[in-house]
Amino acid sequence: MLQITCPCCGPRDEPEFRWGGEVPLVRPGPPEQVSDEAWAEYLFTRDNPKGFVRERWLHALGCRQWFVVVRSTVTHEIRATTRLTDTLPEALT
Amino acid sequence: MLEHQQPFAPLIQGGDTTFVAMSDIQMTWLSGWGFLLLQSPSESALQDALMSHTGLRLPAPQTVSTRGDYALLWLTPKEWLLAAPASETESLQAALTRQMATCLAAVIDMSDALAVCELSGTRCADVLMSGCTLDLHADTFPSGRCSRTGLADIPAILWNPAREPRAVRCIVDRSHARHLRDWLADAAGCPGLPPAQ
Amino acid sequence: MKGNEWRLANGGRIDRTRPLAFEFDGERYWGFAGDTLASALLANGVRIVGRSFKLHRPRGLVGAWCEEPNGIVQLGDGARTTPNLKATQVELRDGLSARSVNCWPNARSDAFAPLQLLGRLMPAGFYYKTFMWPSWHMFEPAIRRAAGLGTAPREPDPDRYEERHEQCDVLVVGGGPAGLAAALAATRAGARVILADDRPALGGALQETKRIDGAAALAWTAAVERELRTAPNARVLTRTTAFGCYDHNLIALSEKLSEPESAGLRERLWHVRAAEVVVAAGAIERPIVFADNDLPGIMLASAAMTYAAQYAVRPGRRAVIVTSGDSAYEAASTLQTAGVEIAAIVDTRAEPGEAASLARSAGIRVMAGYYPVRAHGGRAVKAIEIGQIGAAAGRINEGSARRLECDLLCVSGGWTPSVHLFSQAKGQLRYDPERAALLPGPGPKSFHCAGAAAGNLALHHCLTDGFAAGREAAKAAQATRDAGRSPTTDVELAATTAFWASPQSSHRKAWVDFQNDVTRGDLELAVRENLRSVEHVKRYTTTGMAVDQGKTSNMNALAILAELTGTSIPQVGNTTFRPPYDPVTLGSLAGRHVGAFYHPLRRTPLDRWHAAHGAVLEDFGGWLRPAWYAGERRHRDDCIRAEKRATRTAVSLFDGSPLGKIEVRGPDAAVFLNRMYYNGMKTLAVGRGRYGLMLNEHGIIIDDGVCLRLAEDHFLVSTTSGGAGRIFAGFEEWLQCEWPDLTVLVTNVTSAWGNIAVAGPRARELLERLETDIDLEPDAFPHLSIRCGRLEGVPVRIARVGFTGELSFEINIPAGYTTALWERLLAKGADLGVLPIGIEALQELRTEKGYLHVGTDTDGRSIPADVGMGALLAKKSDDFVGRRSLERSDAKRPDRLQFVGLEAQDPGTVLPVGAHVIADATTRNASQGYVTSSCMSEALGRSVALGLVQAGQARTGEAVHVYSSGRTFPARIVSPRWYDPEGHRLNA
Ligand SMILES: [Zn+2]
Repeated sequence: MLQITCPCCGPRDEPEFRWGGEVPLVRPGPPEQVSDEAWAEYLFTRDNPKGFVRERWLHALGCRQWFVVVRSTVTHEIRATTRLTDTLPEALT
Repeated sequence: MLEHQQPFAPLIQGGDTTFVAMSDIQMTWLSGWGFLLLQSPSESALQDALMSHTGLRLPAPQTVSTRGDYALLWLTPKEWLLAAPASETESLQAALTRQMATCLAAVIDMSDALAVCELSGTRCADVLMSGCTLDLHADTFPSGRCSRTGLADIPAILWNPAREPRAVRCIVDRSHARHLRDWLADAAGCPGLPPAQ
Repeated sequence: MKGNEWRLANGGRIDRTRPLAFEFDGERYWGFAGDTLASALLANGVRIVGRSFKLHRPRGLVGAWCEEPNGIVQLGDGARTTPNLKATQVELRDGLSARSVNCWPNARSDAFAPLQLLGRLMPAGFYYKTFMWPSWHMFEPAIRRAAGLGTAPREPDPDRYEERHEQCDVLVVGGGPAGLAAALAATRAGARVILADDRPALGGALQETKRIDGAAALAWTAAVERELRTAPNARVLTRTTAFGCYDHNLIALSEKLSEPESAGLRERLWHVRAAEVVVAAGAIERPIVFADNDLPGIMLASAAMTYAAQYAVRPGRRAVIVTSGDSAYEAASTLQTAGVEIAAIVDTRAEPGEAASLARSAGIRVMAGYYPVRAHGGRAVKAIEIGQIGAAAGRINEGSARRLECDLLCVSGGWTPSVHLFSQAKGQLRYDPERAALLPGPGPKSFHCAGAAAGNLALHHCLTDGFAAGREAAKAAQATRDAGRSPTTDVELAATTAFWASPQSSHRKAWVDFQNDVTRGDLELAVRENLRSVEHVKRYTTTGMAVDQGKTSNMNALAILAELTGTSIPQVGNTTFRPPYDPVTLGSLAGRHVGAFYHPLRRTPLDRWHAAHGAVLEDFGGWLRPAWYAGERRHRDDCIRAEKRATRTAVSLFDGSPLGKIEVRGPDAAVFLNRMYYNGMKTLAVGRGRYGLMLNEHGIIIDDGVCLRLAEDHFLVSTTSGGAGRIFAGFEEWLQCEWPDLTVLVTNVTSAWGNIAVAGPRARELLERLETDIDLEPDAFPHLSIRCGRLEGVPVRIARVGFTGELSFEINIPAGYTTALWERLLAKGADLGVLPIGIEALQELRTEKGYLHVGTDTDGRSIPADVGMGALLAKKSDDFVGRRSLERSDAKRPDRLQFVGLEAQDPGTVLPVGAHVIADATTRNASQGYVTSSCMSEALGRSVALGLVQAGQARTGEAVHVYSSGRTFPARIVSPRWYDPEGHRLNA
């Protein structure tokens, strides 16, 4: 069970949160100009790196805010958590 | 006119709002409260409206500001819960709505949506921490603190109203009130409560 | 009293004033308070406590605590019976009843004992190789019976289990000298400390004879315990095993509550988030691998010492001690004091040093440079054959063989530090050849290993090491008060050398893993068969895979593997440590998440009314709701029929309170909802409502409902019951993550409002009998519109929407008035024949109306076109969630499953839900879809069904077969718009 530091509420246990996948994730549009490939890329393709990944989490049982977590997929080490309105942290490797 | 029932009404018998009374832990439904959910991106306008009608300041994250019979709980960066005597909620809602008319705001009566149970006694933290991951000891969850979290597998707002006597208020959705009562009573080690009829 | 012939006249930490009677394998014995089941059995001369797993060899006690591999027992009967406990950890209590697990009828005379003769035929991998055809699963039940462990209770557990979350600065694992010193230092430094120890009393392996800070060791322990228990910042947990380390320093502890204090609470599972962890879990002594080293009477030197010193039990009359280090000399002297004759200390070291000289001067014979060749005996050890280590590998010096008679053989092959938690926390282990042990190496900064767990066996090291670790941990957690100085004691001898297995031994009977019956020969076979990875060898031979997880066997197995493969222990590597360190009960893991607390159910404002009026309440999407209302002894179907009839011919009330209600307001509310719904919402007029589908980005239907416009910038979105939280969260996600530029507020007001659906041809008539300022006439208040006003003096929002196909008003009223309004409606409508209806009736009503229920009549692949709403796409020009996915080729496949009506040829046949539509009644092998909803419709005078069928919309009128459980029903695909297709009743 991870302990995640919500930028609003401080450290809380994982069950209070919901994972929301890698960021940045740019939604292509308008739909009539998006190729099948680009749309499939948006829906299905993720980097899934071994190492640090930037992803968004929701503090569902707390402040209900989405925020960014920089987490190692190997060790679960969390390097940083920032608000969505902050600049996205640099990608780490 | 129709008869109104408070959210915990189906759970009590004979008007007794206390459902656990042990020497080191007591549990009571709080009655006579009304709740207004306040949402607005215009913090300063909301602050002005609150100041003129309740004298309350917007609280810092995870805290409560209180004044007289009013308490204002921080819920999210754009959301607060105003607790006030039930008799005043309708007029307060109207007054706040009026004053906030020019900017985007929602002042929503949640009095019927929320049930509030107060735990008091020395065993408060022990009972709650059997179903909550927050550190609820008096020194780490001091008076004036409020946090939205999970308790007994349901969402809950926990609020420490005062330094003395030791108490924690649990605010939950009314649909979960029965679960909360059964769970808390069981956690206190006082099983065998009669089912609500 | 008879019995306890092996009990010493005095000494020990038992309470001789409290004799306790108990039963083992049907025989009655007695012991004392403070005994374990194991010590009480030894005191009563019971030497065979179990049978080995595969071969049913008689086995005696090897250890004295959690390392015990042989004394596995089943405790008690009935609902409270507990399997697979170690007799060494079971605290004796009056009336305790235990039996050994892997034998029948008992450990003494086991019917499966002849299996020993098959030993040669059951090498490693025997089961894998022998029972492959046709499938292992065919043989498994029979094999498990013969080679099984205990049995689980059949009845529900009557006891309580509790969870506890806690946070602390310093968690100290282990209450021996190192742990006590660490807890002391951290507490004095001002940190919030938890000290957890798995035994009933603190002190660990501390012997009575030691002195710490000038006091007797046990008095010192008591003083430290007192200081910790009275400190406001420390908590002491005994009988508490730290069994697992999880992410971000979450340590799981299992606390067993002793009988008198527990009040029905049996165990408590602690989830401790610790900033710093001191691992002072001690070390476990290792057996030595030689032929017949599993005979009863052969035990670890530390265990023999514990039985004598702590439990005042004489574990034998005449002992031989075989050791590779200094620690067993202390065991020899303790045993000697207890009246055990020490025949000899056999030290594998050629020059055992000071310890040996001291022993010799105390009159003990020390045979240095000898090793055990084989043990002799049948049901108990009788003698040990030793030989001098020769110059040639694998040989003893000629003429050096000796036979030493004994009934107790104490072995000490060195110590294995209990580094489990450190390793689980991703700490690395490094092999230390000098101490012949895997010691903690580089690891997480917040983990501090101390004492024997760090390879420091001597008491003076444990104390200084533990104290330093406690102080350091506290400092790391910002607790920096002066902790004073470390406790001190005399310098102790604790040298050891590596000695794993005697080279010259009958490999087939030289046991490495007692519990899983793995021999040196099995390891040799695995290596011969070219298994090289330690993980593979472990799984092939099952060494270390028993319930003790190899506490006494893993290191010996590693060393033997290194020898067999001609490598070194670091090269062999070690297997992964995984939680739990010691078995944890399922009850403890389940905690209070059982029965009514397994899954919290939500209740509507009418819950109490429903219960008092015969409603059969069931879980629908997390809400406890009336399935139907059981009248007086009426059959379920009769009740549902009556409820349907009332709706079709008069008026009914339905508790729709769980319907999701989400308010959306702001200047961009219309734009936002237009993006959230498949259907266009921008053009919705104020006061009107529109049915809409919500999709995910894959174009799949995730919810439906009516969107109502209360004002230009204010909407009320209704979602399916149980969908409110999900849809609300979805709204917030899109607003926060994708469209932060939209100025919109969303609020989930589901519980603020009760919802009563008044439906039926006389619904208006009923409402008109109540006091209201809302004009209910059809022209003023048409279908799919909403009006706000007062009803019986209470502010309400009434919407003309419904799910039955009848004239229908959904009244939203502040939740606290719901019951009063419900009762008033029933009273005012009594003469109209008003009835409350449940979910079952509603589902049948909407089925005969041909209304779709998302999640029932759609699956995880359904898109709008599949439910007949594809044409709307062309009419909407704006983007919305899922739009682009509807243009994918897959969304346009002609053979998609589509929502259709199905009619059985026999109007009296209700097609089973889940039945498959098949093309060919004879081959039955190609499903073309399935039935999703089905009922008998009295209104239509025939059965009807809904389903998802391949290309179904184009196949209206086509005859198909519907297949279920061996039966085939002829049926026809139809349009589902059976009831009132023109909508006259709906729009009345
Ligand atoms: Zn938060």
